[in-house]
Amino acid sequence: MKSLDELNKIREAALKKVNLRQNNAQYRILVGMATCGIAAGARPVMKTFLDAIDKDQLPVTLQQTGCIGMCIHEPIVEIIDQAGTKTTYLEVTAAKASEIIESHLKQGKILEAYTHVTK
Amino acid sequence: MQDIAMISLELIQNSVSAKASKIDFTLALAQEDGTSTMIIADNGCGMDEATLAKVSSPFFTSRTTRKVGLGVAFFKQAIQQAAGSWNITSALNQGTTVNGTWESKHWDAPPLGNLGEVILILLQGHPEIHLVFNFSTNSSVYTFDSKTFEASIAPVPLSEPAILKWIESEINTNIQNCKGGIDYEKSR
Repeated sequence: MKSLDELNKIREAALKKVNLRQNNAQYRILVGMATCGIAAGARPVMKTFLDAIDKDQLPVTLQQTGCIGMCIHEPIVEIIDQAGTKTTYLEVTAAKASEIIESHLKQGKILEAYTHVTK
Repeated sequence: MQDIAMISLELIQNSVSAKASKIDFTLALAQEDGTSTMIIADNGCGMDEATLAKVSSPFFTSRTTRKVGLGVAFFKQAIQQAAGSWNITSALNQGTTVNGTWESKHWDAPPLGNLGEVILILLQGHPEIHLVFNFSTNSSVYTFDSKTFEASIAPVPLSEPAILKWIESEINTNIQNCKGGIDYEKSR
């Protein structure tokens, strides 16, 4: 079966890089995936991060979290650095997530504009 | 919350909140008697009878029992509007089973949605949970067992992004290949 061959290739490639990435995690990303988050569009946001981690081998761990009580500002994404400092991005979309990946995760520059309410 | 994927994601999240270590997600589409059935069974903390009685009420969304909340209400709505019936059975410390059956060709039968994504989201967030996804139509069966799969890719973890993406596309491809799955979508 074609897709199984594909899986084996993915597995081979993954074997080499998994340990490398997990031991050097620089950021922890939390995506709110409660009912409110999912209803507001957290699924494409999470998949954007997942794709980027896979494609660019970003040194981060991606986790899901529940509702933190600010449902009106979902989808909410929290990024925690190695020092424990937390940045909270509000009303994230897949497009905003791509910008956050480029700026925050790759260059360490926090995107202030997305940490405030925009609408 | 209109499609089966989103409804089941909500119910699966309930199972996760109930600390389930095993979740069976069964979807039997376009059966010969003209009905379709979805069952989500977990071995989580379950509910006592008093709680269970309240779950059936659409107004039961109190905070202390938020793990049930709107998910069940949306599920109930979707099933009932397709001339279906549903029930929940639960035993404290043993688990909960949610069951719904509806008319496959009903005007308001819920569309499938992206079921692969549901599995992806569950396994990304909780790779430790043993998920068995059982998809069938009147002539084909497809089963995905997360522990069997995990063993086949060891030592690579299930949560590896490339693996998750493969699972999503594999599940969606298999659903498309199950004869009857497409008919279900078309007949609606």
